[in-house]
Amino acid sequence: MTNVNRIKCVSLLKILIISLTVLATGCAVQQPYDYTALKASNPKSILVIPPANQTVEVNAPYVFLSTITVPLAERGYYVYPVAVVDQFLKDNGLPTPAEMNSIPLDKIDEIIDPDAVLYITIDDWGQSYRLIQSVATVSSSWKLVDTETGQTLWEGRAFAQQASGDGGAGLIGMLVAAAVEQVVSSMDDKTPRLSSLANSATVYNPHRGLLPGPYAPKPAPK
Amino acid sequence: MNKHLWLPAIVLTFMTGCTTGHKTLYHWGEYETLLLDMYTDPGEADNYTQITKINESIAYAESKGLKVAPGIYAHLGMIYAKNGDMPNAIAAFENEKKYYPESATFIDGMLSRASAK
Repeated sequence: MTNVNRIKCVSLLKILIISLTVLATGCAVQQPYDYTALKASNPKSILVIPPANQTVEVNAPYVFLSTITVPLAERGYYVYPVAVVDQFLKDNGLPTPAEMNSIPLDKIDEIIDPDAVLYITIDDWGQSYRLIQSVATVSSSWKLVDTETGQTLWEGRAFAQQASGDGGAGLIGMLVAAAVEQVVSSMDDKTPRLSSLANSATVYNPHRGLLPGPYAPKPAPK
Repeated sequence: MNKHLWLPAIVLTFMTGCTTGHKTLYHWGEYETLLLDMYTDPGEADNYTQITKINESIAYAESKGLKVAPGIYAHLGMIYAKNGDMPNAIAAFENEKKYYPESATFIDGMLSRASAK
């Protein structure tokens, strides 16, 4: 790491600590997730169904799909190849994610045989242009279910927003802009990078994230 | 709108921005970019480009002793099949099964349906 980067990181760290304080005082304590069902089911493989889309951004399900495999697999799960699954479903008479989300679980179990199925709904997506800045948003709701029983094992929500421009974003907006802008400023469409960040943050959330899967490295014994 | 959810994004950005040499379980190559291009900018990810880039990343992983990430062999198999190259498609699908037995039901089903056509 160069010195310049190190200095950047140190000042980012300061910003982070300030923002942590601001946020910690600003929001209620996050309840830890109840992992009873997830632990009992102990899935090893996850099938991600192409997301149902509640927005007008037609590409949203597929931008999402391109950013979900890495965090889930790096968390230690086998993730079925998303594009192969999508193509397979299209070849079998399900042309859009809307239809793909209505396949009965027993059919999925028979043909693909994953331990768990991840259903996603895209709630908000895209770039909106406001008076002095543009704001990119990604927002999705997740539900992981046991393929055999249909029981919900885990739920999550991925949200990230980036404001560009100088003023009017408010303290938190500016903090996010300062932190995120350097990563994504060179790209036209900010949603792929934002989606990648939001998905990782959701999977790795220390209180409500997905527990490590079977391929995750075992923690060193204390 | 749920302001507390910004926190993970900030923390994560901070981590991604400052950590160098982050250790991952798998070698991913350009898998995410290829997926994104395939759907949003197909001209950037035609069959030839995908086959070339994926094979390069598999060769790199092998040369460095890294694990090829889940789904990459199967994805390569799909692109070979789209290109009409069934022998290479089958070989790639078999590799997915070999390294990730969880994929067996799905891949065996696809292969048997493809050969029945």
